[in-house]
Formats: sequence, structure tokens, C-alpha cells
Amino acid sequence: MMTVLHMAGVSFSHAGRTVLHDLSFGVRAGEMTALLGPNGAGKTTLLRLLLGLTRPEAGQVLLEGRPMQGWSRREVARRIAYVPQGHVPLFPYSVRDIVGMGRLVETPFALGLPRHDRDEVTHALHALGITHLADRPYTELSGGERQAALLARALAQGARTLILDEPETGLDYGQKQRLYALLQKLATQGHAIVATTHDPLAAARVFDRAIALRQGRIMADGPAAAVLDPPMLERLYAPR
Amino acid sequence: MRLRGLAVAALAAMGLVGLAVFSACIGRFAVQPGQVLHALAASMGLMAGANTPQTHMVHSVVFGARLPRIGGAICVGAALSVAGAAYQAVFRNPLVSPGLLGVLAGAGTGAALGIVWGLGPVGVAGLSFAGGLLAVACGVGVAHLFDATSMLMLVFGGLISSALFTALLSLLKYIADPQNQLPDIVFWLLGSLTQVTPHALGVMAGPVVVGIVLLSACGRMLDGLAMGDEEARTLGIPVMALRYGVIGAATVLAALTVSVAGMIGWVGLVVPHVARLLVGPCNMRVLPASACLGGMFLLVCDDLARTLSVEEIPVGLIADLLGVALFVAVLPLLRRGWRA
Repeated sequence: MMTVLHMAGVSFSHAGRTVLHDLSFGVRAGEMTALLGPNGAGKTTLLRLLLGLTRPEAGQVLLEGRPMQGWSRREVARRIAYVPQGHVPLFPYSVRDIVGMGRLVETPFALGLPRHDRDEVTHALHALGITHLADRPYTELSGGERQAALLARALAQGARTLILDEPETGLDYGQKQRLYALLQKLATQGHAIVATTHDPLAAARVFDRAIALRQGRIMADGPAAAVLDPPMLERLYAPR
Repeated sequence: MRLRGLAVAALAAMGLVGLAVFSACIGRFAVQPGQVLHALAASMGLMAGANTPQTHMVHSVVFGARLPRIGGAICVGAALSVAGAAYQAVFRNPLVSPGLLGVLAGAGTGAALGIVWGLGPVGVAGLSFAGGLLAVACGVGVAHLFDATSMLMLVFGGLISSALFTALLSLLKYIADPQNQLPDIVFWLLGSLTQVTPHALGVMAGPVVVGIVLLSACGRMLDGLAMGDEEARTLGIPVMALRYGVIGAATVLAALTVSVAGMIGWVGLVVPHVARLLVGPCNMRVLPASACLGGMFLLVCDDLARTLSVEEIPVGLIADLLGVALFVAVLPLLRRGWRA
């Protein structure tokens, strides 16, 4: 499997406190990687580094073998899509508008969305099974529907690497199962999936690989079922 | 969908032209709509112009006095509204007006300085334009001293710059000659379209049209910006370049309006809300719709300004009053739109 994103000896500190210590690992195409750890372990910072939103203090983040800072924002967005935790903009954009934002990468300047882009949006809405929500205001959706819209946006973006921030937050059991099934399908199609999660049991079952992060260091990195066994979880989530 | 958009655009353009022809007819010297269209056609060489004193009179009233003013009203209203809509998108805040970063205060100060120095209309307009840009540059500069990426710092920078230039304006009023300069400054600050000459309109129209088209073309990226800076970056948007580019273009538009028509501020806050009610939140539609509605709004204001009484009423005053009425009228509808 091809390594698309690579962390090479990355350290990062914030306000004088070291958040990440000398991390090294690769994100591979076709693999689902879960990122686990107690709150404050540095998961969010790690995601920001993988997305190229911030620079490491030491070490390098490599996208397809080249340092992240050498890529333009647009080129990064063509390769990596981000699914944030659903938050709400002030203005009531429709779900179709939100998903259409995924096409900004290809058509940033336009007075209307070209046919090809509209087709991509329709396709993404269909893939998530939310075609019926297309004209609803995003601001009025439930948490699960919002998550689906953001995931559809990531698909419309056309990137082969998806980075998700606690995607199961606010989802009911059925929605979670459908989300995992979709992610697995994307992985078999060759997408690289990285998701932070607070649900180790589901992660052990669904993800290929797990990286356990505690106090800014990797405690374990390997097959999800092996990494996320009870003794490990006890140590990972033990109070400091 | 595409066709509907074109139909709406065509309808809006027709409405604007119709309103302009109507505006050319009303006033002290009444002109028939047919005469206006005839004079227009004749001036474009489409029709032979009859050579009577009556047609001469119509020609001079329509072309010499009314059309430049009508064009000026449309340009100023459109530019201010589009600048307001752009500022609201960049700052993710529907309560923002084009004056946020100090452009109006700076342009007012520049004009007052021109009047105190005894410059002619061109000098006053030039200084006013420069003052507007300088004030925004000061605001942005203050923000950059601390944290260039923080929007809150930018707003503080604008507040500081506005306060500084408002103080300078007060100083200029204080030292101005109370016999002739002070009334000029006060009248100028009220906003008026009486000074719009065909030449001034020619200078202004180009940049205004270019600015509206450029900002509208950035509309989709501004929608992405609504999701927050970091998320926008992951969507491939060069956030800082977009923010400062849009602020720059909107500032030039706003400064231009002050330099030709004085201080007409409120339009820029109110009109984008009405536009959003009509076309939804997407900026690629909100920006052109704001331009069109803003042009119409100020044209109506100016019609009232020159016909309500024998003495001309400053259009800025009418625009403020009508703007307040309009805002109060649409406020209940707006609350549904935002998630306040």
C-alpha cells in the first residue's frame, strides 16, 4: 500500500508546552486508521498537522513524499479532505450549497456552478443517501444529518485522503453503522482514512489500524484489534 | 435553475433601466418617457434628432443634469451595497457595514482637509479617496502589529482607525472657517449627488463595474469562508489572500462613493440583508443582487431628494431615513434567516 502522508520525527509545542514529541508514522492508501487517546493527548494538533494547517516545530510532514509547506493550499485540498465536527455557519446555506463547497477546489471563481461540478455534488449526495435533504437549510439539520452533509462535501472534493474529527459524535447506533460501512467501502476503493475517535470498541472492530496517543507520544501503533485490547486501553486512558 | 438565474438577472436589469427612465422624467421640468427614449436613441445615432428648441431643452436636461446624476446614484448605491455585503461575508457578521475598517471616516477627513485647503472639487474627491484608503491601511496596520491572522484584531484596528480619523475630522471642522468652509464640510458630509458630472461618472463607473464583477466572482469562496478560517483552508481557499483582496476591493469601492457623493453609509448595511432574503445566502448571488438593489434604492432616495421639496434635500439624509425604515420592516424576516 502506498504511503500518502508521512510524519517524520514531528514535534510541536503550543504556548511553551510540548504537545507532540517526535512522532513518526505513515498514512497508507486503502487503510483505515483510528487515532485514539484521552482528551489532551494531542489528537487535534496531530490532525491539524496532517491537514497542513500548522507547521511542525521539528521534523516534517510529507504529502506524497514532498514537504507539506511546498504544496499550495489548493493542491493539498485536492488530495486531503477534512470532515470536521459539525458546527453551524451563521447563514442558512442549503445542504446542496454546503456539499458544493467541496468543488471550490476545482472552481473557485464562478458566478454559477458548472454542470460537471453540479453532477459531482448530486453524486456525493446520493452516495451518502441524503438526496432528500439537498434543499434543506444545513442550519436546521440534526447532528447525524450534518455529519453526512460534511462527509458528502469531502467526497465532492474528490480527495483520496479523508481526515475525520470524531465522526461518530452525535450519531445513533444505526447512523454509526452506516458511517463505518461507508468508510470501509471508501477504503476498499483506495481512500486513506484517518479518524480520531472516542469509541475504542467500535474502532477495534471497524478500523484496520489504531494509533494510541498519550501525552503527545505514540504508545502503540498496529492492527486495531491488537492495539485496542483491554490492558492497553486501561493504560491509555489511565488518569495521569 | 440556470435559466431561472438568467431570467431573474434580466428582470432585475429591466427594473433598473425602467426606474432610471422614470427618474429621468420626474423633476422640476417634466419630460415624457417617450422623449427620454427618443433623446437616448438620437444620441446613439439610432434616430434622427429633431432640431427644435423643445428637443434641445429635453436633451440638455436629460443628458446635462439628470442622467449623470441617475448614473451616479446607481453606481454609488451599488458600490456601497456590494462593499457592505463583501465586508459582511469576510467578517462572518451580518451587522458589519462598509465603514467597519474606517474607510468612511477616513474619506470624510480627506474631503474636509481638501475643503479647508481650498482645493477644487477634483482635489477634494482625490483627497477623500486617498483618506479612505489611508484609514483602512492604518486599521489593517494596527492589526498586523499584533496578530495578522486574527479577525478580532482587524476589527479592533478598524475601531481605532475610525476613532482616529473621526477625531481628525472634528479637528478640521473646528479650525475650518465658519463662514464658508464649515458649511461646505457639513453639507458634504450629509451626502449629495448634485456634484456628479458626466466626467466624474465616467471615472467612477469603470472601477465600480469591475469591482462588482470581481467580488461576485469571489462569492463562492466567501461562502467557504463562512465555515471558519481553518475549514476554508482545507477546502482549498487561500484565506488570507482572499480576505485582504476582498477587503481591498470593497474599500476602494466604498472610498470611491464617498469621494463623489459624500457620506452615505447605511445603505451598505441594510441592502445586503434584503438581497439575502430574496436570493438566499450564497454570495455569488447575494453580491450582484446587492449591487442591483443598492442602485435602485439610492436612485429612489435621490428622486425623493430632488422632488420632495423646492429646496434639494441631501440624499444621504433620505437614504439614512429610508434605510432605517427598510431595516425595521425586514428585521422580523431576517431573524428566521440567521441562527442568532
